Amino acid sequence: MNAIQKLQREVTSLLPTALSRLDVPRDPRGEWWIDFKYRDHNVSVQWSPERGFGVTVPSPKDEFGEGAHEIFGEYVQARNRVLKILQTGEVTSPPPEVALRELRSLAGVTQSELAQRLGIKQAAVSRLERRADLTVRSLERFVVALGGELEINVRTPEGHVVRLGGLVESKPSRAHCGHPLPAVAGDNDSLVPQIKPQLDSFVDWIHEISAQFRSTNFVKPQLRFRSQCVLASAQSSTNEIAIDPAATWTSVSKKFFRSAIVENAHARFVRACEFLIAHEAWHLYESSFTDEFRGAIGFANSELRADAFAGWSSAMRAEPNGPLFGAAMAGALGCHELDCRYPPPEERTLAYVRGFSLGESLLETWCSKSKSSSLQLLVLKSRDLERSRKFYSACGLELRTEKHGKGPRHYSSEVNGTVLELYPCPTNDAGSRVRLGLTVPCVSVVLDALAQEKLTRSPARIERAGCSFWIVEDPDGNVLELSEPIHLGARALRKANQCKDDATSQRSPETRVPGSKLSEPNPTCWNSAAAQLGRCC
Amino acid sequence: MPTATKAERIATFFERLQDAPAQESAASALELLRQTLNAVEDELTDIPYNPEHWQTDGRLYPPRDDAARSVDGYPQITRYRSRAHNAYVAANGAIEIRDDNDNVVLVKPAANGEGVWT
Repeated sequence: MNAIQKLQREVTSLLPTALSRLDVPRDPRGEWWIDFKYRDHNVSVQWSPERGFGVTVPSPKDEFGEGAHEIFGEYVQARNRVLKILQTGEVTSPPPEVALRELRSLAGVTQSELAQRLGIKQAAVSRLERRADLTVRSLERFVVALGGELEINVRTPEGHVVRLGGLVESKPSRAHCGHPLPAVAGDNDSLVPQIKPQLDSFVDWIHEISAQFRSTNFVKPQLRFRSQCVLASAQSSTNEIAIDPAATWTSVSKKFFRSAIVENAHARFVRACEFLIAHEAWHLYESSFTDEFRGAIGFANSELRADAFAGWSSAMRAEPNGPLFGAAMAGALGCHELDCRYPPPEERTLAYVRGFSLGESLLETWCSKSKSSSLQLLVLKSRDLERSRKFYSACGLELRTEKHGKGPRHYSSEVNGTVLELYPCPTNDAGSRVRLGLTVPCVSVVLDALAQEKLTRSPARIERAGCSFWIVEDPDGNVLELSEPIHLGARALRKANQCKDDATSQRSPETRVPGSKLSEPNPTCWNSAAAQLGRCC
Repeated sequence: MPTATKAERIATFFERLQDAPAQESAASALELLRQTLNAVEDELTDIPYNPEHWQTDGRLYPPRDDAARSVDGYPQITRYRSRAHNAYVAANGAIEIRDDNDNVVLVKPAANGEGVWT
């Protein structure tokens, strides 16, 4: 018994009233057919040992010798699909590119005519018809330009049909333009070995710093060059940021990146790559960020959010030249073409500058916090946890129950920025009953001082939630967790030290963001970015 | 760019097949069927010819050899199954095409005037 005979047996066994007709070829290695009918639902299945299954709900009036609508390599998939069609009356559809072309043919409209109606080029219509992931908006424009009206109906498993409305916004849409991926270019492949360690380090940094704004863990992505050629575009997948050869360019981005390479190949190329990595990192991490952080980043469009995140990360690295380069780069990657999924240059530049402004604001806050040590955490171990809870509750603390991983259940409360935690203490635990979490401007300075005075033994370093902590004991045996406010990277630490020395922060006018209002980016930044964009492009 | 629908192309195919000279053998009848449909598709669509496509690409393809079936009681006739149609080609060169409901949609006698079943 071959696969299609098995299909016939199983389907008629599961649907005993289903009719089936097996059409056997003269050569058993040829194309077998089987036609099923169940209630008013028909489906034809073709099969050959070499090609697998093809499933089609027939509509005899305009068919002759066409291939199957849907193809399946696996028997189980084909069987399940056939059963579903027979039970629900679902219909098969040809691939989108075939359906769109046939739709246009039915309307008697050529690609050129349709291009004229849509205000795009004929090649864009051709690409549109070949796209498998057409948006609802693009589909609606396509249909409306053909004189039709788009309706989307959903058939429930029970057979109810529901019309979906309101999927398409009323604002004018834009046509697909085949916009290239964000890309950077170089003239030779000699830069890759040089910059790879730097960029790997950047990936480490952005993973670590963003962890503080993520509510869920995320495996650190790997940076991968798909080619040794420094002609690259960036893409992200589930756990990878890839630098890839770019096939197409807009004239603007080509000119921009060429100038970046020619003027200062190494440094600007690294910054361009950092922009792309940060941009793609947003796409990777987005769903794991806290609502608060996503809200601060803002923007309805994911590309703009990614640009804003790139600006934010640049500010958090205390980019010495401000947002100019990144803003210009964001603008160069924009697209004015209709229906391109990439936003226009001015929107991208604005998003980047806003993100930069957000980062600057946060950095300022951290810098000011890092000027002095502060008590972040106080852990008390209690032999009678419930009694202690009642005690501190009576003192007015709002204690909530927490449990981290495999650790014990405990209570936690925050008092003026300091977290107080009550942990259970085993009766045989002879150790300290107090644990302090102290944030210091620079752990290494503190550890050096403690070592010089011989006040503590060698510290142990632990990693938790993407942050480093150093564990030391005070002279009474109480445990201290030392940490820095945030890991900002070398440049940002220098800036933090600068903040310590000079609270007024001597920065150039174009990088200062008065008030650091996130919703109103500094107009000076905007103008400077626009000016740089003009120079470069 | 051509804009003919599938229904128009199938109608053109049947018309041209009907108007073509009658054939004297099964091989020449099958060749006529193939050449006629391929010519119609080349003229009226911009879909490239790729018979190896298992999934539809929107183009209509003539019967393949591996679609051949024997017809009980008629050893001189070969049936070619395709989506929604069956093409019967007889040894005398006659052609008959029926839809899935067994309605005859085209009858083309052989050069000797006989049909598929006579």
